[in-house]
Amino acid sequence: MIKLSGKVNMSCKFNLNNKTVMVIGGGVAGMAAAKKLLHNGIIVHLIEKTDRLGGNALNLACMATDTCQHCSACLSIELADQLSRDTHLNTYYNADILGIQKIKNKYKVCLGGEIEQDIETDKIIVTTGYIPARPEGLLGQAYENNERIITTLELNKIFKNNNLQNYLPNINSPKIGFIQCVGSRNRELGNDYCSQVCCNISLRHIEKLIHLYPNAKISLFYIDLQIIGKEIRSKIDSLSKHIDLIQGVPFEIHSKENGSLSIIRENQKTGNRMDDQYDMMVLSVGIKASGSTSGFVDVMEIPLDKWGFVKKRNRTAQKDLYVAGCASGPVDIITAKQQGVLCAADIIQSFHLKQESTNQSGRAVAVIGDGHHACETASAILHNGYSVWMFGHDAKKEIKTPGIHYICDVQMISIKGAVGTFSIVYKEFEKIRQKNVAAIIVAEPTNTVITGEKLNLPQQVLYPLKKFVSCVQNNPETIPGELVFWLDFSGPEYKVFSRTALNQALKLAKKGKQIIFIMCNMLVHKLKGQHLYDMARKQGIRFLRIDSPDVVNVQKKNGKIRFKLKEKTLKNITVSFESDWLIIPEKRVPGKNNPLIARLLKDRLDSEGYLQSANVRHRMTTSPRKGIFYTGSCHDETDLHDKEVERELILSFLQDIADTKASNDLASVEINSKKCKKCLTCLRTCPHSAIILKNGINPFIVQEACFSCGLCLSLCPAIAIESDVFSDESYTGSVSKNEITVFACERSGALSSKLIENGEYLHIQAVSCVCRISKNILLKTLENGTKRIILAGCHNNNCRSIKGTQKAKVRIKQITKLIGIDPLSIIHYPVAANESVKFDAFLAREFLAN
Amino acid sequence: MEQVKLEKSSYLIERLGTSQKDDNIFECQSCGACSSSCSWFEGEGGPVPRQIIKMASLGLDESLIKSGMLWDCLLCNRCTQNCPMGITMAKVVRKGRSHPKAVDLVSKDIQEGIRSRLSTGDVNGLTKEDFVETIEWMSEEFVDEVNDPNASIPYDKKGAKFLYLPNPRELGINLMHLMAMAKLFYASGQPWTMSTKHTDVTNWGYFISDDKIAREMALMVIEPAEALGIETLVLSECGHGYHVLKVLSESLIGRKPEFEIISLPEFILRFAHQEKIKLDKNIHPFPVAYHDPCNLGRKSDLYDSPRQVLALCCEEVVELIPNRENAICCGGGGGMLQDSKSKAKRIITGKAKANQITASGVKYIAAPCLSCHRQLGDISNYYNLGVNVETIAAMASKALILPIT
Repeated sequence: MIKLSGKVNMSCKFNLNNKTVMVIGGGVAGMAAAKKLLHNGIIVHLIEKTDRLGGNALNLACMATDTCQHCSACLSIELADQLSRDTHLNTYYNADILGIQKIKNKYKVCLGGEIEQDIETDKIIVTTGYIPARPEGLLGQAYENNERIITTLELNKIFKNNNLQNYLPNINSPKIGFIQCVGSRNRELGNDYCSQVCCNISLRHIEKLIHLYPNAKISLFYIDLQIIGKEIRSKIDSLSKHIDLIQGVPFEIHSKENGSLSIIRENQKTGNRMDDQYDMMVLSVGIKASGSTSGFVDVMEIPLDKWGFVKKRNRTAQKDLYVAGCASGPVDIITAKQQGVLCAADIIQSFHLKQESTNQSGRAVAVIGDGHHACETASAILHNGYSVWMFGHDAKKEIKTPGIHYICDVQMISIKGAVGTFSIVYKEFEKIRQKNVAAIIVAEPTNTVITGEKLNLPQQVLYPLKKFVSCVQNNPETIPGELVFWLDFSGPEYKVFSRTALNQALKLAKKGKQIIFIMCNMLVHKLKGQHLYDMARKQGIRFLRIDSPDVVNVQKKNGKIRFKLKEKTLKNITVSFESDWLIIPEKRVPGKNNPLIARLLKDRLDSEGYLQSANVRHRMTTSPRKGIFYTGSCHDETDLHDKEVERELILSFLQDIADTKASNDLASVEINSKKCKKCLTCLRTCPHSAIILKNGINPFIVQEACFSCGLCLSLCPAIAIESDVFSDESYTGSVSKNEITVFACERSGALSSKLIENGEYLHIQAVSCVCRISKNILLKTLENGTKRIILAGCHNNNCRSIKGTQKAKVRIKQITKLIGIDPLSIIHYPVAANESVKFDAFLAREFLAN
Repeated sequence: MEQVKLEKSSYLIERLGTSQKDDNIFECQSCGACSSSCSWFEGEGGPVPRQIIKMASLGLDESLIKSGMLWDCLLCNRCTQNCPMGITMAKVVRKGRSHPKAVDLVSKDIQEGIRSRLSTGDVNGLTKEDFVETIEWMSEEFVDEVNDPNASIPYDKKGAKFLYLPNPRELGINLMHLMAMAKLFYASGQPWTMSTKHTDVTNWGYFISDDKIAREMALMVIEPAEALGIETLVLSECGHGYHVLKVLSESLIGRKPEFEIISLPEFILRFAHQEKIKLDKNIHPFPVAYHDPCNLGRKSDLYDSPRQVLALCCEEVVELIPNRENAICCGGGGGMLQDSKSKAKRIITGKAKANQITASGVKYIAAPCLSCHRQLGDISNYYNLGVNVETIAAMASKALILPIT
């Protein structure tokens, strides 16, 4: 367990092996790598050019509205906090790298800056991050001359400082424009790539703005909306009802005499140019390769791509030199974190530190799912020395991997137990059976539905993308001369399908086929995405943009398909054309087993019905229930590369499970069997399902599965659950006589309040989760003389224990109903680790009110 | 709503879809940056740049011609200044104008001007005799003007280093302007000449994008100038004339001319630096705004020398905002000014310029292009701006301190 004051020690078997790794860059990727390496007893030198850990993400604002928007910036603060207090980590602040030499199998790194020192290391991880692009000179002098033209990052800072009202004084319903791709996707400027994260970032900022200014009128100007990933489809769907989505990005902003900003744009309806005025303009300027990467790279002679990002292959740039995070291309925060973890896992593996576990049951893994990805995942797990049981595999399928146990055509009844000791109960041939495994991986396929029936076209000319691809492979001679690919047919296209269609089209265009795309947006994800799209246009593939599929009329005529559609960028013109075949990618819908699996696993579906909630404390692959993992399209939008990465990530977690010694943050919560009345409240409510029944009657806390939230302690009617670390007394004892007592979650409230002065009137007590604060603690605290209690927990959907915040709120409601308790004396205040300014202002107000 | 068939091939696709740079319309990703910086701004009607590209790339040539956007375009290239794919709108639009089905769109005035230029060598039909008579008369006046009995305005003089190529207006309605230019040459002390074969700097073949005609017109200037054996051809202040001769002539005639081509402000600056041309700032004791003609600035990369000359002959050069690469077109470019029926449109296209001038607060504005000069005058009148419009060379000539003889 991590305590919020004092030193921590994440390394449990420190310096057992004398292996050394240098991590260059203390951002999210670097910190995640360092943390994992420390866990495994490796000596880590973390080199940071500034005077603090956290990277760019540390300065970012919380995007939560009344619920978490899953931006994951707060994770950086949590990591930075843990690492900066780790006694075994060697951190070098304000450090430069002056030179690097390869001596035998080691690197000798010459440090400059504050500390001049030579360090020998076995391996290096480069996590030098990115620099935010700047808009100077891009829009004439508009940005430089008007303080109401800001970048997304500057808006973010305004959010962080909680002072948007200073920029929009006296405006109730501000009109704000967001311009995407300013200077990006721009070959003339040498930035012909998509920064990938900005669309999502702008959408989050818009959500936040609407939350703060419900009457705000917001326009989002875009080239192609990159709607990729978990829950973004539903987000854009709901947002599109409140904001104007305008295709086409203005490149010029005029300052009007009345103080407003004006842009010329096309009128969506008439197609003519019009003058559109705004109170504020927010520019999305993208991510650039880090300058310090380049400087450092000169010393290292690391190969860079034409934009300055480090070229890598399987996470390495060269032997013993790994790359993670934005140093090798723009990625979001959780991806950066995951890449850091994977580099560390690679290194740990290469050091051969792991011993074969003797515990055989610790190496049994269940894979739930059917289809290609589930099979690949099962094989990969098998190859890594685990025994694999595959549930849900289609019995009729001939191809089976030797060594995998297939359990086909069974009905799964329940999944009991916890990490290391799961038992899957299922019904086979009317018999109830049970299989014990250490971990469970869900790799269910999504259902793909063939769409386009409503077009009434014969199937000889209407091809689902998958069928078309196999036709290209098997019967290329049958492909006719004219083809139409229709993307976004049933909602925003999936990145896999969009990329497949583009790749196929490019190949066929080179063979002389006439190809037309119909689309709402073109996806240009990954660094080469824009290049591929550019090639396609150069090759003569034509792209017709539409508002929605409704504007397309399709008819079969004389053996050809006749299209009539309203092209979005042309005014008063309907274009018609003919084609031999029409290819439409399949639609994805959540697998029909998802609700059942979610119920068995006691986890939540996301808002779109896919497995795994969007909570960033558990994504990419893990869940609130340790030992249960998700991979593939059952939980997120994934392509082949993503799936491979997820498999590797899961493998590295499995290794941790098998090698339980690696995990030292074990909980210290136990059930006192003498006091326990076997009511099983704890077992029913544990958000992490870490409490199991032993001998059919005794509840038992599986330490490896426990996240130490303390909910069980606060709920146990028999007060039978005990902990020396967070007993009731440890909270009530220290909080006497303060006017205001704040119980703050150690991942959110306590981190954000670290900057706040603790006076004698105000006491801030870090807690593992606000759900730990029982009625007993609340009452005792009031009894001790506190006038007001604030529970500072996470935002909705940001709680690591999923329901912790709600539990706390319910408890407050119950207790403030008691006679004699002032209903205002206990309140819940949701706050994130990066909301210091807001929290500070709130506490100041509270203090004054008292 | 118009219904059109998407064509696989068309006149424009064949001519615009092939090159790797500049005019490959297929490269357009419909980002819309162009539409936000069209010189028509919010004005009613006019072109929508990305629609032009889209129509051309879909083979909708006839819809494009019918839309009227081809001749509403000012060829100012302001829209494509920021094109992420480097597509040059002036090239695309001019190619559109050259479409066989678009010939009827060419204004009567331009058609006539071209006919006259090709048959007589001068857009206004000025004959050799007229020219000689005019120049000889002016030469006599010039003696008085500079108070030097040996002074003259020479023509067809072999061995002169500099040849001055005037705007036809200088030989017709604006003779005093020619006199002013002659003073600058005289002051420089350089051997210079005019020529009976060089009465016209314009090249309207450029507007209609007929490369054959544009080539012929360029050759009408280049070949006789080479025959005269000059070192430097000095162009009168003419935007498109400069752009064609300086930037395009090499690709038009397939070789480099055997002489250097500069504009009159560049000539002035060169000899001002050598202190042969001396200028007196106090002649214009007030601030003067500089207008960047699109053809000189964005399209030919000439920004500084006219400004430097202006700085030498007035109190202060005022920059209009935006300027240089992002400068706003006067509203008369692309052949619009050459069409006498375009006045109503030019009022719309000039509005942004008028607003810009008003915002700057200046009462004097100078531009090194006679088309801009005329359009600026027109919008000043229409919008009651009350600004005085001058060309750079005219201001320099006024500020000139003549050597005492």
